[in-house]
Amino acid sequence: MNWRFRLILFCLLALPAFTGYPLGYFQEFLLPGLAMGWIVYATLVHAATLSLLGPSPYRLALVISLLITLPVVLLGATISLIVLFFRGFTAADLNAITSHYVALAVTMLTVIPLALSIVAVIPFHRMENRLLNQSGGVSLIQKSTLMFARVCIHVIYFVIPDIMEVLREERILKQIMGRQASAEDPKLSLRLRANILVRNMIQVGVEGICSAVRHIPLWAEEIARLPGRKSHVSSKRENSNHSD
Amino acid sequence: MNSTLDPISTYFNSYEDREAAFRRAVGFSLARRHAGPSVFWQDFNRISRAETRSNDNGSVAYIPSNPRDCLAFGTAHQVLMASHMSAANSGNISKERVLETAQQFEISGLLSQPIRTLSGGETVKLALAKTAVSMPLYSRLVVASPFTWLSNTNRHLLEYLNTVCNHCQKTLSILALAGEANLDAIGPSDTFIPPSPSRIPFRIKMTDVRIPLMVSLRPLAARGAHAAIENSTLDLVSPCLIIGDNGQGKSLLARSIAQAVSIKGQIALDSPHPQHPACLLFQDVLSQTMLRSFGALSHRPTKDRTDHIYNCYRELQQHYKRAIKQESSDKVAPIGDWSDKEHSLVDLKAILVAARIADNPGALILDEPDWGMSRTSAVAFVSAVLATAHSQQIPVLLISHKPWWGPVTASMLRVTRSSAARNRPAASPVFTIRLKSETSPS
Repeated sequence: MNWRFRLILFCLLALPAFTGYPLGYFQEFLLPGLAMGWIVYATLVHAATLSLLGPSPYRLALVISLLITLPVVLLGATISLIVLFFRGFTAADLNAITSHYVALAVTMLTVIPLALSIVAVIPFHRMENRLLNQSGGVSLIQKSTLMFARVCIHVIYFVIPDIMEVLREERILKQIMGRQASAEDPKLSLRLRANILVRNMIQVGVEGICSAVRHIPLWAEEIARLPGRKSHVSSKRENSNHSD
Repeated sequence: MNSTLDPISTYFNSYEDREAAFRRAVGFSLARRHAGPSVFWQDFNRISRAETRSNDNGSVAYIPSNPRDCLAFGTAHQVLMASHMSAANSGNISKERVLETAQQFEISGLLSQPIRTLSGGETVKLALAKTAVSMPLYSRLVVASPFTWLSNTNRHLLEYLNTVCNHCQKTLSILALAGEANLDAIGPSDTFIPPSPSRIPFRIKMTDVRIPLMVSLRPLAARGAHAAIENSTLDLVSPCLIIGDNGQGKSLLARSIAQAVSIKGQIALDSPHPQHPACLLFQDVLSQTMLRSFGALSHRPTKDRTDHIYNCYRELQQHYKRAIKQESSDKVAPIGDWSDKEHSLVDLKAILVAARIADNPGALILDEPDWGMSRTSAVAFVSAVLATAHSQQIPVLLISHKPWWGPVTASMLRVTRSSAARNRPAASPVFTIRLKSETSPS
């Protein structure tokens, strides 16, 4: 399927998340915070992601979404419950907090894979190639598009794989998942694994942001130096001079 | 040795000194990564606020110590196309011109390959090609440590770039680390520590290994592009040297053995610690530190394990100190103390190695161990790593394209790569890495 068609499908699929339509009409709750509309919508998003991207990119999108969602939801809920515990609480307060974080988890697990899918279907490499290969220079809008494509390509193909290589080499993912490196190693307790997860999420976050922005001044300089788009006539004249 | 390059080369004793000189010469650089997040953000802030680099220090072209840092586009073709466009100030550049430049710098087979999949040496070749094209835009060129990446067979490209600079009356300056360009094998003049008498035999068995190349290598393969390692059983002895020219797949092999990349098939390591997987010190250790502090790099879930890392670090520090000859001691900074507020690149390398040795890996692989170090410092560092690792029965594999390490190694493994296959069936690999065990000169 053409990437443009897939992009349009994903953008259409994103409309309910941005506008709330028609999710607002299905407010029947199966569990506290778990509205019928969102369950159907989340199922639809995941089915579309799986069928349009394939199993391997879908798995990756799901893992990234879980890694972002779980610390936010679990930490948020824990802090809210601690505050509630010291303030004194009623059953209604507890219900409100539970339903808020359940709804947040469902929303994040729907919206993040969708956003990742939209980024994944755009062929940034081809876009970058086309912008650099056209005759007659690069216009200001094209330079901005080139810069946008550059940042996306860098994050997808450089920053994430580089970080993944370090995490794999240090067996951090295995430790978090509770898989031992060898039979000799003691299995880590859940508390230690949670500790490792939080530490590494922070480190990965810092590294990810720094690596993503590090080359922006260089790219800005190199892209700005590309020749601007000339008028059709002057471009033709230049061509004829070359052939002479 | 490097007759035409010697007069334009300046040598420094440490990575920090060379980086400082490079930053002064270029007047602009990328934010530093080896000094933690706060220094990174200070640098980034300063660079972002600077109006243009040329206003500060004239227009200077540069190739930094990690050549990938001066390449602004995704593939070699795009980099060369953009350079031609900028140099000619024209949007009408023919593909033939790009191909001609690529052929001059021996990278015509790599044009459509994403830069991340290029080896260090291939990336330098591309950086040299890009600079040669865009030299008319600049007044001079500064190159940092090119000999760390370029193998001997590719050094003529640097000499060619020097000729290009001379031809258009531009200056080329090379800022390198002391001894970096030396092509002699290490000997008694480098260290007074004899080659380690301990030898650790180990075996690596490769069975149907397939390494997904992750990003598509158009037009070689849009999907499922992967490299293969030839099935082999290798009986080796530590210290083992993995050698091969630029772009033969040495680092890819190391990443596969250390499980830093996901592979299909099996790599079995039979060593004194067979239950533990191998560990790897990357060539670009700065990306491996991920801006983590010394404390974060040595942190382990239990105090015992953190203490063990501390002990390994102390052992490395002592061996390193002992391996430096008296007359060189004022030129080589020692491995700093654990409690120091600021840490050098050598300290970072030492803590990364100590953290790995403390985990008793099946093997420890050092990818281009001399990266960011002067020759004296690199020899002392490798001696220290060998002594510390061997005391815990951990086999060590050194990866290098330099002829330095032959005398200290007990076995050698040569890596060669088949040429990239075009129009291949989806199931067959883009290229195959071949391994051949050779006798060590020592």
